[in-house]
Amino acid sequence: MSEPFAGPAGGDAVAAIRLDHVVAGYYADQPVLQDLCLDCAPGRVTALLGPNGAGKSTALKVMAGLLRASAGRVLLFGRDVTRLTAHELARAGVAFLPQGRSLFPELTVEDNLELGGWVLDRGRRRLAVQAMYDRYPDLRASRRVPAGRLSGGQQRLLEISRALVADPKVVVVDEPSVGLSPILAERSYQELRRLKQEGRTVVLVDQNVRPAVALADYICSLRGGRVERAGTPGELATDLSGLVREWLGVEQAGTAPPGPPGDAGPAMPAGAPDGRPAR
Amino acid sequence: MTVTLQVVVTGILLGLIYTLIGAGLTIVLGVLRIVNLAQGILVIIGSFVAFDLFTQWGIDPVLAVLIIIPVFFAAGALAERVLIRVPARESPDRAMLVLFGLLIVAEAAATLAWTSDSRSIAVGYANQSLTVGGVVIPTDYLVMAGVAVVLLGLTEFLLYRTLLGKALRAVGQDRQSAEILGIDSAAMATLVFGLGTALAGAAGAALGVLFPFSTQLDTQWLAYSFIVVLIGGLGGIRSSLVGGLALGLGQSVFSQLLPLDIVPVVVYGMLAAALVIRGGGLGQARMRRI
Amino acid sequence: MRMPAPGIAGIGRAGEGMRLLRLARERGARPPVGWGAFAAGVVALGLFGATTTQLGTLRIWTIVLMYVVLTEAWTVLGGYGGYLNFGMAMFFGIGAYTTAIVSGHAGIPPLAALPAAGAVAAILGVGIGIPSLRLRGAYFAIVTFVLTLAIEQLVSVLGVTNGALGLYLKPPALGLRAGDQLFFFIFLGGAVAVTLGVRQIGRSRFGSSLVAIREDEDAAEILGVPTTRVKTAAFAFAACVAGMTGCVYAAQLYYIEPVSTFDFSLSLNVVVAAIVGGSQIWVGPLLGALVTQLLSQEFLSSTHGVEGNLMLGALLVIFARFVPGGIVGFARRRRRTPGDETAGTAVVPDRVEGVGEDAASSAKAG
Repeated sequence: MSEPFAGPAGGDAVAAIRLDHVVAGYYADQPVLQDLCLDCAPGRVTALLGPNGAGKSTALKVMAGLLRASAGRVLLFGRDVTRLTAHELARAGVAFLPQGRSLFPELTVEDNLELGGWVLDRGRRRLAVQAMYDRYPDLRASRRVPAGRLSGGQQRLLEISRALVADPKVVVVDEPSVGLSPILAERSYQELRRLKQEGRTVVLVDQNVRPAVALADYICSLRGGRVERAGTPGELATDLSGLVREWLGVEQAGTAPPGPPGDAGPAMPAGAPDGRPAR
Repeated sequence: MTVTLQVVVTGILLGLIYTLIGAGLTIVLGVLRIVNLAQGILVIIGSFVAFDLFTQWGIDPVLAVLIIIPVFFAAGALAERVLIRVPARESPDRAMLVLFGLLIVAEAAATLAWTSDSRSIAVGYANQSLTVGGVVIPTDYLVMAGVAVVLLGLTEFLLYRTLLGKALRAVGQDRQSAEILGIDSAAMATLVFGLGTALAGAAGAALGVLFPFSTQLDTQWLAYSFIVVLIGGLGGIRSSLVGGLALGLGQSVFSQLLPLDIVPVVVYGMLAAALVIRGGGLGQARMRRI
Repeated sequence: MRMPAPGIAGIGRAGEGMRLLRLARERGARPPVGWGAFAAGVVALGLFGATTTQLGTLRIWTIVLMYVVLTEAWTVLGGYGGYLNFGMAMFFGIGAYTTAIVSGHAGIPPLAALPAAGAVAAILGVGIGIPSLRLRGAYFAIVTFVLTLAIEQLVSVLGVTNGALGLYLKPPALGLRAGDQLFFFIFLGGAVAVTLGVRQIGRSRFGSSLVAIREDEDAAEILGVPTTRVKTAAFAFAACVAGMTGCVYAAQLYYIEPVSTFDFSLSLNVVVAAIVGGSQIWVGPLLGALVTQLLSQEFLSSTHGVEGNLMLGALLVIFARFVPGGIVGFARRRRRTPGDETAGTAVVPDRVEGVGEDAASSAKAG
C-alpha cells in the first residue's frame, strides 16, 4: 500500500492527473499495475521511470484511456474519468503520443492535422491547423504529402503538432526519444520543453533516463506496478545512478509479467549505467 | 472489330456493376479488417426487395435503390452494434463466425420467405438497346451501370473529401491513434458496416434487373465480390474499380469461349488460386489501406 | 512473404499459451464432464445399441456419433490451432467417392476400403493444406469453403465419378437391424477412439504447438515451432477422419451423388457443434455435437435443409456472440475462482484498443 504522492504544487492543489490505487493489466489474472498511486501536478512535467515491466507504459495507457483500471480511480483535474474511453478523454483535453508510429500513413499531412482537430468545430479547427503551420512551417510545405512518405523527423513533428491541434491541457508521452537519432531525440525534447513553457501538463516515460530527468519537475520511479520512490530530481539526485543500475539489473526471465502489445522490449538508457552522458 | 468493341463495352458496363458489388466488401474489409461473409446474401436480398417493390408497387429499381439504401444501412448498423462489435473486439475470427452464422440465417430465412425459385426483375427497358457506332448497348446495362457510377462516386466523395470519410479511413489505418484524437472508433465501425450493407443492397437491386437471381446464388456473388477485392487490392473505390473492370471484361471474354457449366468451377478455382497467391499479403501490414 | 516481426509481447503470449496448457495438464484441470460420466455414457450407448429394436432412434444416434467423430477431429486444427476449417464436407465426400471407386474396381466390400479412403483424404489434405494454410483467419475459412464448392462441381462433371448420376456401392450383406447396429457400433467405437485421441493430442507437445500457433503464430515460429508442419498435420488429421467417415457413410447408404455427399451443411454442422460446445478442449466438441444433433432431431426432421440451416445459423450467432468458449467456457466461468489461472484462456479486457496490425488477439473463436 503506497500513499498518494504530492507533486511539487503541494498536497492541496488539484492534481492534473491522479492515479488512485489503480490496478490494471492486459490479462484478467495478471495485473501489471498493482495499487498504483501517483499525482501529476498541473503545468509540470512528471517523469515515470523504472525497469522494464514496472508498468510505466501501462500507467500512461490508463491515463490516456486505452486501458481500463480494474480497480482504483483515475482523476483528471479532480474529475473521475476512470470509466472514460480514449476518445472521451481526448475530448476532455488529454493528448497521447504513443510509442512508435501513430500517423495515418495514407492520409496527407493536412488530413492528419485536420483529424487532430476532430473534437473542434470547423471554424476553430481551420484556425488551429493554420496555427500549426505557422508554428512548424516545414509542415505547410508538405501539406499534401501522404504522411507515410515523410522523413522520420518530419513524421515526429507531425505527430506532435497533430496532438496539439486540439490544444490539450495534458500531454501524455510514451518514449519520446526511443528509436530516434540523438538529434531527433533532442528535437523531441525541445518540443516537450516548449509544451511545459506553454503551461501544459506533461507526463512522460522514457528509457533514456538522462533527458527525462533533465526535463522533469518531478520523478516517480516505478517497480512492480507501484511507486517505489518519488521526488524532484534534486531530491533523488544521489540515488539516481544507483537506481538506474538496479533497473538495468532487474531484467530476469519470469519476474516481469507479459508485456503489453507493441512493447518495444528491454532497451538500454542512452547514457552509461551510472548516468554519465553518452559518448 | 465491332465484336471486340462490343465485348469490351459490355465488359466495362458489367465491370462497373461488379465494382459496386465489391465496394461494400472492400470498405468493410479496409476499415474494419473484417470479411463481411454476408455480402453475397445481402446482394441477393437487395435483389428480392427490389423485386417485391417492383412487382407489388411498380417502383422502378433505380428508385428502389433510394429506399433500399437507408433501410439496409440501418439494418447493417444495427447488426454491427448488437452482434459484431463485441466479438470483433476480441478477435476477427469470432466476428467472422457471427457473420457466417448471420449469412446462414439470412439465406435460410430468405429461402423460406421467397422460396429458392429463380427470379428476375423485368423492367420495361430490359429488352431495349442503343446502337452507337455499330456497338449494341443494352439499355438496362447502361442504366444500371449509371446507378453504379453515381453510388460509387458518392462513396468516393464521402471517403476522400469529407472529414468524416477521412476519419473512417483513419480508423482503418490506425485505430488506436484515431481513438486518441477523439474519434469514436466503435461508432465509426458501425457506420462503415452500415455503409457496406447499403452498397450491397443497392448492388442487388441493379443486378436483379440484369441477371436472374435466387437464394442459392449468394455464394456466387460473395465469390465475385471477393474476386474484385483480390484483383484490385484494398485501395478503396479506385482499386475496386480495377478489380471490377477486370472481372467484367474477363467474364465478357470468357463467356464467348467457355461452355456455361464449366464457368462456376473456373470461377471458384480462380478464386481459390487468387486467395492463395495473394496469400499472406492479405490482412497483413503490407496491404494498402483505404 | 515475411510477416511483420512480433513484439516481445507476442512471444510472451505464445509462451504464455504453452505455459498455461502445461499448467492445466499438471494441475489436472477438470473438464465439466468427468471420466465417470464419459465411461457411463459409452456403456449405456453400447447396451442400447445391442438391445434396442427402435431402429429410428438407433439411426439418430448413429448420426449423433458420426458428428462426434467429425467435430472432435475438427477441433485439433480448429479449436487448439484456431484455424477455422470449413472443408470437412470436401474430405467427407472424397472419402465416400474413393470408397465407391475402389470397392467397385477391386471388388471388395466398401468397408474394406476404409484405409484407402483415409489415406486418399489425408494425402489430399496435405496437398490442399500446404498452400491453404498460408492464409489466416477468414481467408483460410473461405478457401476451404470455396474449394468444397469447386470440388463438388468438379465431381459433378467428371466421368470417373459418373457425374451427377452418382455411384452405387455393394450394400452390406446383413439384415436391416444388424446392418444398422453395425454402423452404430462403428461410429461408437470411432467416437471413443477419436475423442481419446484428441484428448491425448491436447496433452502432447503437438497440442502445445497448436495452442501457441493460435495465440500468436509469428511468435510461435520464432520460438521454433514448425508451424507449417504442425498445421498441415492437424489439417490432414481432420481430412483423414472425415474421409473415413465418408467411407462408412457410403457403405451405409450404398448410393452417393455429388450434391448430398458434398453438402456444405456437413461442414456447417461440424463448425457449429464445435462453437456451441467449446472447441478448445476435447470435451467441447463431444458436448457440442450431442447438443446440436439432438436438438435438431428433436425439433426438425434433420440438420440438412433450410430449417436445419436456420437453426444452426442462429445457434452459431448466439454462441459466437454471447457465449465465448461454448458450453465448456460457460461452465468454467461459473466455476472460476479468483486467481485460478487454469480456467480458460487469457482474455484481453474490453478496453485495450490496440487493434493495429501488430496487436494479435487472445481468446480466439470458440
